[in-house]
Amino acid sequence: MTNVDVPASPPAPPMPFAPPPLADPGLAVQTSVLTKRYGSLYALSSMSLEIPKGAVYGLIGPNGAGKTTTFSILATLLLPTSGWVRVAGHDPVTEQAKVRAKVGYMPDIVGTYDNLLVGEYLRFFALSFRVPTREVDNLVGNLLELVDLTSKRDAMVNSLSRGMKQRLSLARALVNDPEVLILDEPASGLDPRARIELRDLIANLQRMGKTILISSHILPELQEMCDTVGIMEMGRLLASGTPEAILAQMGAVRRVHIRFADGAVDDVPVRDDAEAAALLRRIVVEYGRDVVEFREIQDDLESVFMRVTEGRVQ
Amino acid sequence: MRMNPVLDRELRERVRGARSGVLVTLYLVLLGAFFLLTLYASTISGSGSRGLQATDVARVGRSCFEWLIFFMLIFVMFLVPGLTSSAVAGERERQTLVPMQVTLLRPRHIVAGKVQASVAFLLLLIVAALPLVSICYAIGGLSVVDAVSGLAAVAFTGLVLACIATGCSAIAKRTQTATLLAYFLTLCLNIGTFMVWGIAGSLGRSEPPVVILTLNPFMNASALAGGKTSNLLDINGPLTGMRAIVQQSGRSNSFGSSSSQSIGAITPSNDVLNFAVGSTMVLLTVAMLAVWFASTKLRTPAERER
Repeated sequence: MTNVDVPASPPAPPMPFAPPPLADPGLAVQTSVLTKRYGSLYALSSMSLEIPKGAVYGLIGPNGAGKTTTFSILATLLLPTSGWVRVAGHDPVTEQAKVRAKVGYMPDIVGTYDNLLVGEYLRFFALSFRVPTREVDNLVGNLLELVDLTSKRDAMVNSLSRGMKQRLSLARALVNDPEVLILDEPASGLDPRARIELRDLIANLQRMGKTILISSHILPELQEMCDTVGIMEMGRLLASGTPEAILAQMGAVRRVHIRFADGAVDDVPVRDDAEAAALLRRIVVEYGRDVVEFREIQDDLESVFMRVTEGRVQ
Repeated sequence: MRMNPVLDRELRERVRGARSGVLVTLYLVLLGAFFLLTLYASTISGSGSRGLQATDVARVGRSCFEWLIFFMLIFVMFLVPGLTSSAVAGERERQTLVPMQVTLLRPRHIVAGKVQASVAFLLLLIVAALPLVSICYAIGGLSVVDAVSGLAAVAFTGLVLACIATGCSAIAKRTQTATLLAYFLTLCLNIGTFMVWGIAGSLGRSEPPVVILTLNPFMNASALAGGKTSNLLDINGPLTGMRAIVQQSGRSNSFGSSSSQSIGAITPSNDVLNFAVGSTMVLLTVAMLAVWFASTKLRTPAERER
């Protein structure tokens, strides 16, 4: 994983002559100083990212941070202004068809057709990926089973709940059996039950060997679903790695929360368990105070995110 | 050969929706009513003091067919732009365009599927009107070639309008805008060309150049549908009137070769044939440009920037 320090704003222009790195066959997604510029506006600035095959990578950032721009470049919808990118071993700039064949993309808004059955919806996209006609029915059945919509095969798409539509959209993104799955805000607008179902589904897909990229605003959920995350703001990747590595990198602070018998409370920073134990002993033995609660508080990804980002958009 | 997935999907959607069924029913009811009125009027006006003679009956059959084709053209001009203008704009509104763009479908496949779906609906309209055509044929005054060329003229007009409406749909972000634009262009082609032709005529001393009317789908259809019998029978159908413009213009100035003087009275004049060929080529070019334009608008930003 590439770790990028918190930048001074505004974002610096990309290095124009950065040499492209060697493509790593162990990586599903690899970018180097990837930049997307609209006039003087940097939608994406010098993003360097490495996502190993089979990983579930979460991209966090406020609106306008550059998450959708990143995903659009990876899904062949946008061309980068500069930089180097490989998805499933292919260049989305020059090998669009090869990338599309290996990528499943689910945009943030699930569009559906009027007067189309669930099975027909998936059939259309399967045929659009040139799946042989004789295999389509079987494929549709398997996908619906995977997303637990088998009973809805002959239902109208528009009759599905939002959660079901989201699962159907996920099934659509899987019709070409992609190596890399790009999910833009998949949990947006879902109720808690649908979110849990989606999380289980993503875990299942990871077990199937898919590399999954997810963007979300719901940080705790992303933390649960992803084994690696990246924090973005103003087109820059501020940090990238496992949640634990990011917490360590961003200087997450351990504290103990103490509640005394007389009702007073205090949060005290500690370096490690030994210091916490010494603190408790000192309070009880030396000061003779009764403690009713003594527990550790650790910065979570959300608090780190709030600290390193300032909610700025371009 | 595999069916275009977009066509496959569009057909499934259309046959399931109530709109197509209602439209076809309405179309047939109105077309049938107009046809019966025409038949009644033609029979009344065709019968002299000695009753209907053989040529009168043939004239009634031919006249009914001309009016039938005319009404079909009007319906096609109302229905095809309205049904096709949502082709691409509707995909944008429903947010279904991006998922389609990241498949292996190329923009030209998407546009072709949309146009094919419109043409399929158009063929349904034509097939639905076949019983009325067969009545005209049974009355007489109509050859099989006449009937086929008349229906082909309707089909060609519909194809051109479907391509233009798809182009409009690709430009507009909203379906309503696309629909308005498609109807506006249809009006421009059908009425605007006549207006320009009329203005050109009022400015000069000679007959206005009929080449202006090559863009007019009605004129094209009248030239394409002009069979031998219409000239032989000397009828006053709507399409005959339009063909007369071409023939008259051919005598005054020229559209292609003007050799109608000697044979124009008994066979379709060379002017009409030349006009039919020229107009078909012009409209086909317009249709192809509209399809090409729609394809360029359907490219992803990455494909456009490349």
